[in-house]
Amino acid sequence: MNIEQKKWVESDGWKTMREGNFSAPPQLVFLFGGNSAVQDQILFDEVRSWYPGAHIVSASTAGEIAQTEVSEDSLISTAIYFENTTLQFTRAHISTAEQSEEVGKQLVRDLPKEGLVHVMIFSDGLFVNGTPLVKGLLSELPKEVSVTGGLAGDGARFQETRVGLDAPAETQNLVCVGFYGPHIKIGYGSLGGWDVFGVPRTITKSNGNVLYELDGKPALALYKEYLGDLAKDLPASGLLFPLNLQIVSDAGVRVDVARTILSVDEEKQTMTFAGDMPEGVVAQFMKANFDRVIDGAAGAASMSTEILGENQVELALLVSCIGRKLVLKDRIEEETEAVLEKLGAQVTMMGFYSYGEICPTAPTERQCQLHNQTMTITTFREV
Amino acid sequence: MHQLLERQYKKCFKEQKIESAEFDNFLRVINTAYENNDTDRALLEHSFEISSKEFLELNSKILQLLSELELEKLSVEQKVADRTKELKLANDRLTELDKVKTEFISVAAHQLRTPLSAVKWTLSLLLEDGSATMTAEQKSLLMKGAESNERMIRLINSMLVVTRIESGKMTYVSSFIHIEDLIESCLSDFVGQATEKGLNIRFDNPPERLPYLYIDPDKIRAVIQNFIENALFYTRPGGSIIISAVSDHEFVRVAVKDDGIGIPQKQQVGIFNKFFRADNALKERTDGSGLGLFVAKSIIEKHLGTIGFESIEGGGSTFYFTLPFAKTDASEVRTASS
Repeated sequence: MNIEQKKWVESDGWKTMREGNFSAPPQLVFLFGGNSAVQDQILFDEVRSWYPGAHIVSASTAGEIAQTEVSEDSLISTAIYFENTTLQFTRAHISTAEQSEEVGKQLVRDLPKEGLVHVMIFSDGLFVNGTPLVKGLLSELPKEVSVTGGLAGDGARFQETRVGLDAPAETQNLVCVGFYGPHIKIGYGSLGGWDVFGVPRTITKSNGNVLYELDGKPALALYKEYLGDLAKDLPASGLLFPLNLQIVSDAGVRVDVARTILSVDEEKQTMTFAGDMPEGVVAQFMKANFDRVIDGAAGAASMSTEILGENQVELALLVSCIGRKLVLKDRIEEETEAVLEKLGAQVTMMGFYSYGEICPTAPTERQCQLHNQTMTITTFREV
Repeated sequence: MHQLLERQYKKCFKEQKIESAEFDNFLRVINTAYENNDTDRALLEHSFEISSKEFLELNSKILQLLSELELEKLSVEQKVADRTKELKLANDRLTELDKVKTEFISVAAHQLRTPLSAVKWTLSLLLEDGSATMTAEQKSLLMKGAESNERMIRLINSMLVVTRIESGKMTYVSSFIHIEDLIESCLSDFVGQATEKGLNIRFDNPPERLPYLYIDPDKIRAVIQNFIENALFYTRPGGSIIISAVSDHEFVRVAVKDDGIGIPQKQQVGIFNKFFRADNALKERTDGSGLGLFVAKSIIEKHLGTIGFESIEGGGSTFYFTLPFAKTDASEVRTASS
């Protein structure tokens, strides 16, 4: 595996952060950037000119990660040459959140299954309900294939998110990358580090990922009461208080899942979350404890090296929740530094702040879940 | 500039103005961090205030519920106490009525037994002395009358036993006994009857003497007789009845096994109840009182033993009881009895 990383900022243009030493042209380029940067045709053409034969997968973000640097409205290009790994790509379009499961199925249906080891999913962050999307993906994949990825972001604006494949990124897009062959080793880990607080409440009215009422009272009014002056900054400020849901998994085990808000509808007094909000489930507010949030990132990094081994990771894709960024503010790079410390100086880190993370709950599991408020890391190494 | 930062600046630099773009930028970053910290703290304080208010409301609701539950509990306790009192009164009344009933049966049975004994004596005299002058039909009618009279006396005797058991007036006179001797003695009473019915009856006497039992021999004899009588009644000609006695830990186990009609599974539950008769038993024998096994159970339990049975409809029955060994060892018993 060989990697080249470049960073673009409007004031300075492109800067090479890591020089590649390619023996052959890279097959894959990840482009993560601000909403305007990922849809910019000129910037895209520039990247295309450097890597003419590569597939370019792009996503808009709520913050870009290059090594330990976290920036906004920049564009990070990471080009990868795989020596012994083949790749396949699929793309789908979505119109409404109700199509999420079917789109998930469609995306992986077109991927050849022979030799398939891992799938990465990059999804629009606002038109998708992450829970049925994951369900759809898993229903069409062999059990031994793992899935990680995330929902694109749009800063703290929550207006439009973009994903692209071999073209400037567009809204309502989803892209899958399939990794094939015995030589690619992939690890993953996902942890939050948030604490629950306040009285537990029951979801008494909801529809899919749209929440109406908690304990028979409008959920939006409750959020506004808790946020006080910050209620004017909804939906972004709602991320300061994600909800912890006590759901029962298909295996009948109680699992705590964090859910973050994507949008609010003042007229209907509703809130849309990144995943399902099932009626009857107990929900409780969560708050951040800075140290535990940063420890969570380090924990996710440790989990992601369990299979690959310490100081063996060549490439790491970090998908972290925008909620963490809103909370940590100036301290945000402490979490990427914590990750680098665990993965080792040899690693190339890239990634973005997202509206939802997708990853199995344990490094030994294959069945992925939609997460919120976590740091989710996928690690790669070729053997 | 943030109030705290301004104060700290003045403390360190007095009124001095530092002209440096880098320093200005540094101050801006610090200032933002101070402001962020204030915003975070204000948000947390605000949310914790609401949260603690919610907890107080919840707490007050829980206390209210607890108080209602306490009242409800007191009301339920009062209801339970009232109901218990009513039930106790009803139970006392029933016990009283049962006592009256038992006394009545006892008196009535005693009153009936005297004339029935006189009838028995008269009929036996007639059959002995006048049979030569009677026609066969007259003799047959007299014999049927004598049998019915005998059945009536047996039933009344059984009822008297039951009333004695229920009133706690049954007396037990115990002595040290080898159960094998009691069984042999009982068996001799039934050999003729069994042979007449074409049944094979035997006692598998154990090769070694069983330990002594301290029991009322007349009462235990009545139990063994009841088991054998039942086996005789409900075993078809050609069948067999085997009596056994074995030592089982600290107990002697006596069993009467037949290959008779057995007892239907559904009816096995109430077999030791008063007046219980299984459906198939009613077809075989109409004159049973249904009191024998009830009496047997009372006698065995009074001896601290157990009673039971195993039965398959159409496949025979085994009725058994166990009795504890006498507490004194055999040598002492022999010395005492000699």
